[in-house]
Amino acid sequence: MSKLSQSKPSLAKFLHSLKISSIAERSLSEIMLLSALAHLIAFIAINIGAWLIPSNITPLPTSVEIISEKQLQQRLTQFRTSPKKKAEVESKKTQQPKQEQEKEKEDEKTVEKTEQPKPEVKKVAKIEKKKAEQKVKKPATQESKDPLEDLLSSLEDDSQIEEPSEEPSNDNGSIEDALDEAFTDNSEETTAFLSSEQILTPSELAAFRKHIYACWSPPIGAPSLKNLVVDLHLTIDKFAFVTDVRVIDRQRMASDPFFRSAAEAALRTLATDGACSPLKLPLEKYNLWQKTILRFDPRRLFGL
Amino acid sequence: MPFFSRIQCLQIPALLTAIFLALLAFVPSEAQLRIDILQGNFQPIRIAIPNSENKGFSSAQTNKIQAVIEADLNRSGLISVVDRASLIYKNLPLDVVPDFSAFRLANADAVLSLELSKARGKHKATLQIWDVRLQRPLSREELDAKSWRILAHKISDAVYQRLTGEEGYFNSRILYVSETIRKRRRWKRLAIMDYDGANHRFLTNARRTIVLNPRFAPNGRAAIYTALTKNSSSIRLIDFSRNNREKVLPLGKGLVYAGRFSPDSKKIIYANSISGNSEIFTYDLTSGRRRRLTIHPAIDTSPSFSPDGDYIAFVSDRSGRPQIYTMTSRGRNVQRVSFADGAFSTPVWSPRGDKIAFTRQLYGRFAVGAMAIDGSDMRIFTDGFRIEGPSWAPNGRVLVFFKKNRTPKGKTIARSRLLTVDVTGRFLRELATPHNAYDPSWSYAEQQ
Repeated sequence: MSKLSQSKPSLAKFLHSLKISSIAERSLSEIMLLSALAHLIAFIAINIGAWLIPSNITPLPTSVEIISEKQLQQRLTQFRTSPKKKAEVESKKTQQPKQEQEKEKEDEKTVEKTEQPKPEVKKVAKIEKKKAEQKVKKPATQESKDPLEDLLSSLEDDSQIEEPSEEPSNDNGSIEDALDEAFTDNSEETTAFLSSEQILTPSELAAFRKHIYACWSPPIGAPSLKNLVVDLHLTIDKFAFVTDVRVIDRQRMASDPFFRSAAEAALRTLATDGACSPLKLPLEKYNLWQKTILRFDPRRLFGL
Repeated sequence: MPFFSRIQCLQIPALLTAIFLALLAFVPSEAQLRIDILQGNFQPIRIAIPNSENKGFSSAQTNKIQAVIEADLNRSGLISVVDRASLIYKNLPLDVVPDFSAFRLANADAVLSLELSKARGKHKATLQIWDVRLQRPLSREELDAKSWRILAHKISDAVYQRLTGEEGYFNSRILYVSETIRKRRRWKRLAIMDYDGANHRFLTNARRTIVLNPRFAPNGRAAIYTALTKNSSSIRLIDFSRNNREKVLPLGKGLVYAGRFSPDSKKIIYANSISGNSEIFTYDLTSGRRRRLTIHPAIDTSPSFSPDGDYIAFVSDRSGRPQIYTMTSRGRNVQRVSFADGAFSTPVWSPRGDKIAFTRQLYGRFAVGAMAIDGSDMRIFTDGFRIEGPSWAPNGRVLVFFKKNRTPKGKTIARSRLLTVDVTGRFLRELATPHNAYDPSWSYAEQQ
């Protein structure tokens, strides 16, 4: 009997009960090993999965803002009253009635074709019609000639009573749609949801650039300058000193001597004891620039 | 029975943990901010060269070698050598890691430590380059040469190549036409010298022959030039490997001139004028076969091969004014590439293959420039009263040409000099020659 089964009889019994006797008989370190293996496989699988996912899929918003109902209502009204949305709504208004009328006719035909006494079919037809009618503003005073229509209209009334909070059918889309759109906007313009002190102002950016311009000696006269754009990944401490810097395209460092020289020139720009250290960054916005990518692009210098 | 021994069980989880952590390092971390840097302030890379260690060299020789290295690097414009007087450590042994902070005080970006020695009739050097700002070694090399001067140029080449990424061009030679005035008569001779003006000597001595258009073979072992006498012209081949032996090439009747080698040094391309119509021909040096490439009533001249040998740039006045054209090496697909005002001449394809250098004459002034091979991005590097005959350095970064000033009043001849300029037009330098100089051609020196 292994150590595990001696020290942890209950666990061993449990494993035996699950008929995983081989595991139960193994030592604690073996189980740890298997567990680590399982973690590793899961980790690799997740990474492979991440690589396989096409890059054009919009990622989920990384930050979610918690807002009160009032704020939500304000945003929705803002969203509805925006000129772009108004134009969309107008166009929908003109297109929808025709489509809905056609749908309505089709629905009516299907209802007529179905057997009258079966209430379930009526319900289905009625729900479909109800949905259609919710979107199109229909005069409520329409006279019904058919008893089936009467029934449908009464059911429709019931449904309206049952769901008083639902937006009227003639409104500019459902709340879900509005929320979807609001969050879509959020994902495209993440900075819009950041407070203003978290964003580098144009003057701050200009000061930063001017500071770097003085220190960077670009590769002049090198052939194919358009291929000598160097991206550096910087880790910066709270006092704007670069603590770690690495060239993103490391493979080219080994294979292309022109690129290597260009990259070394960029690295010298950021040398810890160089003229550009510390960087000119607003210290209060450390969270924004603690990880930064600098792109040294000599193309514009030579009119390329 | 457990399938792993206890030791394995202890080791493997640790190993797996290490792999797990290594994989974690590959997970891309997302940067918060991206900033483009689109402007810079060019400064040459400053290199400190402390005294070298010597084995078999006198201090005078060492000083000479260091002086040649400093002159080479400073002339490039891309690298400047820090004044040795400003260095705290005057000596730096080869295997000692430099005190980077001390070299930073001298404002150095890099340090070169050297060890020179002599063995079996050869001059040897071991060099180590350090990056002061990045505080790490950049490269270590061992070089040898027959003479100390060539060794110095090779060291400069190695430093230049490592710091700029570009092949060095200091161990190279320049062939040109030297002009002296004797008894009011012009004496034009072919001369050759190292790129920096050292080892100057004359290759021809005939007083009644005018020499023109000297051109190196790309391998540097031979050259051709045009010799004009009263009644005829010929293109002559000089073989440097056979004690400068000369041979007149049988290129046919009429005026032959503007010869150049093909990139493989096996063919000569030249212009041949018969009854006033100049056409372009090639001559195979191995088979002796001639081939006509252009058939046009206009004047076609000054041909130059592209570095891959597939295309030829040449000058033609078929549009009414001399302009630059290109065609395939078989004379097909003729295309005009220059469309600017003025008369273009002497097109020379860059060894890099991306540019064509030219001379342009406009409103009585000459200029030297370069354009992309499709004629775009035309840039003029310098202009003056008479500036002509560009020739590329072997690495395609620098051009050499001659510049002649206007003849001063009361004098019969003006000074003509050789100048170099890099492709950015920033670094214009003069090459010292003992006499007036024209028509330079630049090539790597033979391997010595």
